[in-house]
Amino acid sequence: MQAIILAGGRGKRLGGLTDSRSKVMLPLAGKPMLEWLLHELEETKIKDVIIVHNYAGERILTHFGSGRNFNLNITYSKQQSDRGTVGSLITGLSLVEHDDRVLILNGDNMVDSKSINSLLKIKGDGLLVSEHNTPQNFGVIKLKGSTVKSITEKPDKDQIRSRIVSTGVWLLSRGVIDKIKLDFEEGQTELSTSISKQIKDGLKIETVRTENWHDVDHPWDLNKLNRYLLKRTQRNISKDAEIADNSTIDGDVYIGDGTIIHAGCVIQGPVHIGENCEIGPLAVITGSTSISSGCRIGPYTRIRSSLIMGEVQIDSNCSIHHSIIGPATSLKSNVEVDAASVDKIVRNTHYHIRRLGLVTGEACMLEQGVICAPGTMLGSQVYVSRRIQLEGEHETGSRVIGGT
Amino acid sequence: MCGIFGVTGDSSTTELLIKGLKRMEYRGYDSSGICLVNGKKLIRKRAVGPLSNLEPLVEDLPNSECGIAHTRWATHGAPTKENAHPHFSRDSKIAVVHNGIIENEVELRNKIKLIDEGIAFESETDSELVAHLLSIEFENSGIDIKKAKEEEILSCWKLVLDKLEGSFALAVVINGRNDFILFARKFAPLIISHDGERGILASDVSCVVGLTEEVFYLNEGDWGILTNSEVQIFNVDGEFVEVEAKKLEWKLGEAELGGYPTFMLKEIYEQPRVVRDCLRGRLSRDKIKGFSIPFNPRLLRIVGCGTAYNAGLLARYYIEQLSKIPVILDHAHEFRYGAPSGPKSLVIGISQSGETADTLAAIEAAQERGYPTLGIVNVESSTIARNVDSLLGIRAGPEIGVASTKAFTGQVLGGLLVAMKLGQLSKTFHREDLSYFDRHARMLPTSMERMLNDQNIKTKLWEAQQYFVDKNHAFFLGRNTSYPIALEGALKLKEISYIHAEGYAGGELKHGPLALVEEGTPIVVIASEGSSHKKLLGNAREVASRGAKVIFITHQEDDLADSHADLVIKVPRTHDLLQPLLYNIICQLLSLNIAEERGCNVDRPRNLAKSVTVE
Repeated sequence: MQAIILAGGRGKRLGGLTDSRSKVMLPLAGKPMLEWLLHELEETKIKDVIIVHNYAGERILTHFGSGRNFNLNITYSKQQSDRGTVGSLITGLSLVEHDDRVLILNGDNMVDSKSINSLLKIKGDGLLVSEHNTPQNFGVIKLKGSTVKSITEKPDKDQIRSRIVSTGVWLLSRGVIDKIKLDFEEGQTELSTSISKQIKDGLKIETVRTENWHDVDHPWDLNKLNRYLLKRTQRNISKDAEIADNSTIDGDVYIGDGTIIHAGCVIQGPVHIGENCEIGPLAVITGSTSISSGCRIGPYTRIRSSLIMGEVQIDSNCSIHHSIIGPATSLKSNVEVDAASVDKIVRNTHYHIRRLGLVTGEACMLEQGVICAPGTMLGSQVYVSRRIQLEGEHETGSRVIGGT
Repeated sequence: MCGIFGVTGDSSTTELLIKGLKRMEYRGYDSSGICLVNGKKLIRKRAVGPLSNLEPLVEDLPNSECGIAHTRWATHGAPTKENAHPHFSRDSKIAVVHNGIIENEVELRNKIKLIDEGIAFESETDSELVAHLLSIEFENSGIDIKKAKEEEILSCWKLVLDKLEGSFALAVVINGRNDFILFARKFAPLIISHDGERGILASDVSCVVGLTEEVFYLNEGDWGILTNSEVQIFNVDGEFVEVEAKKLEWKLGEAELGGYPTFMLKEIYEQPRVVRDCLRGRLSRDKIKGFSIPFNPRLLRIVGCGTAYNAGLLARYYIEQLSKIPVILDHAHEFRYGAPSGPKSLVIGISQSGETADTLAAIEAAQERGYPTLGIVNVESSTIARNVDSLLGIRAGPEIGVASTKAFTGQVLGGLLVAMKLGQLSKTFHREDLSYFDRHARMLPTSMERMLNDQNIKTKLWEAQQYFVDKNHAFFLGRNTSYPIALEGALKLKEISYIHAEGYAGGELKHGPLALVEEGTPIVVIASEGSSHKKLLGNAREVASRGAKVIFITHQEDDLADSHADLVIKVPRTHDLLQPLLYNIICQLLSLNIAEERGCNVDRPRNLAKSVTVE
């Protein structure tokens, strides 16, 4: 059986983080999100994967190639333009070889192999479902026994009758897909609409529940998924890493090749530190933190529960909590981030984030002594001059040089 | 150049030979051929043109356990079927494939005619002679080749090799002997692998990636026999040599398209990774490490050809600016005609493949004159890499597209590392300078990724290519560190799109080239730093006022260019020393787009070969 992974979207709500890569290529716990998903697929009987890409697709090709290094056979299909879920699905279907059924997944979701395997046990058509706190952002499913009675795509809040939502992981047979294609040619670009129609005509879709499904929509979802994936980290310190004798490394900590941990550092797992990083001296890195390859963390700097992407440079005596720092961002000395609970309203939906610090896009530069209020969000290439008290949102390319 | 490939001890020989040829096609693609040892006669199939012309001919060939293959880039004789390898001896019992040039061809041809007056040479190639010579030696020794012992065959093989002058990598199979391949190399690349059951020989490492884990690298003049069970290697004096197998430096997958339409596009997009890998372990805030400079030189000589020469020119600016040590840059093939440069000179050779015959010859000439040498090379197992006193591997991974892209980036970074190290030695490049550079260098891969995915740049490139598609001439202008980028931009454009393009230093414009500017002539101006930038803007105005279409490549913080060009393409700002690399990527993409729009094969431009292994 072949699997189609839809990975064409950008992930606009992640702001500057997706300037040069799509959401699926954001590094979590040391690997792009899509790589985590492929590792799960590796544990199933599926060996052939079709990746439908569009936005920044070259990056996906460069990273995964023919799939050989991931024990999968990967082929690619470029989505022609923005034609909705079905559009990209149909792009991918052109590469399916006479298979009776196809597994369909979203590249920007995380789901474990156990759930996929139980879905694959179903004889006919199937769907993986899960409970969610904000069902209004998904296809809400009404069940009859274990089969789908109806799907309502992104319903109004007051019309929600169920917290069960579609995870977007479908197992569909050729006949169902052919009908979706027909509907698409008639202008129907939503998968759930076409499926709903088929259900009315008597189609049975068996559901399987999962509790291990993670969706990433907003930046703070990244921290959450990072924390979840870091639980899988096992203590593994590369022989090619240089670790100072008097540093303390506790718990499940991964340290990659060529990384240097200077004297007096304290690292408490779960922590992932990629290749060729330089940490310390006397830096403190604690719980649920990922630091991607090529980062430099200066002396006396403290980092907790944060996602630090590639080639980030954080100078001395900074304090970073519950933050997401985009690739190639530079924080000069004494930058301080406060983390607290934050309320955000995005497209009429209210989000209460238990803890959030700073979120930056790519290649930002924060000069000495900048203090960031909880929930500060920056686009890419934002420049912030010395000792600014930073808060709110600042778009890509902006320069913050006065008070905010 | 040509590529040779051979397999013994595997039942699916044909399949493997074709696989090997596919991987080597970038080395030459005028014609190709294979020869299998099977039963009573040698089976030979050859075809002119791309490999796809050969494939149908070999579909139903019988099984064989031993065979050789060749992909040709014509040097002696036109690309015809007769000139395609493998070549047969007079009695069709010996088949040979050859990469290189036999320089005493005429003499040998006469010698053979003396022995066999009536001989009809099948081809115009020098390679064919090797088969005849071996057949004559077998005859002279009176041995029956079907039953002859290995020692007897090897002694005949050695007699042939002693007669050859010039450069060669050779592989020979003999009718009725499906248990071995004879081989030899001198000034042309050849590698061998053997896993105890299957022996493989090939012109370069990228052909055997995935087929084997370890390879034997041969020295100049080495020769021997590859049998089903082992490999025996002898040196030029005929002594048996013990060669240690080395782990392959490349992984499978790196030499595959992996979803990309062309290798060139793939390799352009690999450049952020090349920067990361090339600087890894070498650049830090306070020192440049991970490679050595043989001594503290007073003068530098840099040699290279084509793209490597352009990288050398940029290295020259870097070295002179950062270390104040004078640099003489030569095309590698012209190096030998210059005067010796006195003691305390260091010679730097730049080559992607490390097999470039001209650069190799220059390095050897330098060593004869007693100069220490430093190589900036991609293939770390190559001849140049093994011969130089000090090696700086650029870690770009296999480059398959004939037009060099990612290797240029690696070579420039290599030159920059050398310049900074020399600057530190001569105390003209300080710790603070390095620390400031280092901060920006860490951000460079992300800047590249940002520009490679910048929709605005993609649109601008599309507009820019419209200026070129129906033109026959184009110019690239630069000054200071952007001058080498102008040369490289022009080289890329002519290589793959066949538009005549020249790169000039902006100051040179009024001394001649300006006469060629007409209404609509596309001119790419590449920004430089400081005062030279203002002069370039003046140059842009000069050509624009004569009707040229000006495309200005600059960085985001430059507002001056906007009023001086028809089209301005802006890339992220980075350190002055690194800025040219970002401009160069724009030139690469521009050439690629133009070539594709004109329907050219960007990976295999006509008449060109990837690693130029003949002088």
